[in-house]
Amino acid sequence: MSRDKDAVARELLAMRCRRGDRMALEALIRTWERPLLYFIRRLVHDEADAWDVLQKTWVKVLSGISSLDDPRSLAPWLYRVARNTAFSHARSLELPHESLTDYPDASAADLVGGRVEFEDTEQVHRGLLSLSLAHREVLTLFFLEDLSVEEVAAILGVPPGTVKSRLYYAKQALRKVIEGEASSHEWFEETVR
Amino acid sequence: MNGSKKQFVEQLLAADRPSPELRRHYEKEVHAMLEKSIGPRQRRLCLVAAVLLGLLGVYWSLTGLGILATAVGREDTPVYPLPVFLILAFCILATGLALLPVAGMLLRAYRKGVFNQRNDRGWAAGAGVTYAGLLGSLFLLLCRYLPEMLRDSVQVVALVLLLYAAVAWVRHRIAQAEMRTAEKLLEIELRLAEIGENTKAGPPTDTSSPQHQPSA
Repeated sequence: MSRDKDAVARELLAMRCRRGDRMALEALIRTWERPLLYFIRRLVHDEADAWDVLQKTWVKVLSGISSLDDPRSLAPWLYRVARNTAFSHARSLELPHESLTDYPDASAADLVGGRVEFEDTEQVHRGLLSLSLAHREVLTLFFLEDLSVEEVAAILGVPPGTVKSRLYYAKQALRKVIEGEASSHEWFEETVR
Repeated sequence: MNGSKKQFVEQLLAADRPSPELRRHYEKEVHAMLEKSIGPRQRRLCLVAAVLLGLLGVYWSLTGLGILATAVGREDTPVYPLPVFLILAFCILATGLALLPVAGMLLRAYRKGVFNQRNDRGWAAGAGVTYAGLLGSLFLLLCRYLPEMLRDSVQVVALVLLLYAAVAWVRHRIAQAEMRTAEKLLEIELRLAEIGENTKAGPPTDTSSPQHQPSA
């Protein structure tokens, strides 16, 4: 079966970056800065810090991309570098960081079809802010990329089972937040009338 | 990633509105990062090093060339046979020539105020490996004219230099060839994927056909 055009284009970009092609490096930054910034902003509270972390992420990416063995794993690698940079930035500034608590395992079937239930992106965006760090990061990855459970597990540095359970409970938590928001909207509308 | 997912991601990213001021600052930093900026003190150091290495490079290159020129058409000197003179001249010339690109890179860093980490390191590594290989070959040639007690040590040094240069060169060539092949294959795969997508989308409608001509 032929692969997705975008996946091949990304892999080609990673190959050119490994070769040290300046234009490819610029294209890499252009392509990935928005999703990476979005992801980092879910991990770091302050926007200025998020930009700072993104810049540090690029420093690490540019110096380490030649050692990226498999260009297919570009996306998980970029997110892993961004995540590690965000956490070490928080540690270096001694910022209070949330704990990454684990949840009981959920079935693999819960992983599929989650996005279909969340169609209002504004609600999802706002809802993510109300979730715990563990839920936020796993859901952000789930929404932004087509990553496998193993890839997400590699990014987060946890076993695949933990990814499944986190994703399951994160979706439940987000659904609750969105429903709560919708009911409070309805109440507000009725009160105003 | 299918169309609806792409649209979802785009909308989600658009929901996050970053500050234009912070973005401008970030873009400036990223541009500087691609070519690492150096401060005024480092620029001065670059200039001093470039001048010193450049002068040394020119001096050694000229000395090597001078020895070569004087040796041409002469018989063996009273002290050393002619080949020793020639090999020493080549060693001096090679050292001088190897210093010149390094001086050039430092001068470029001084003039532009930036240090292109990737390219400059690559050039410096290339010059180093070439120099090691050249020096190893010259030492090996020199061995037969050396006194017995020095011959073995110089031979070992020459072999180590040659081995290092050969391994580095072969590894570099293999890596380059692998990367080029993989890149070509990916380019073909991308082209096929594009053709596949276009075929799925169906043939473009021909607006120049008589059916599409506006009536007079």
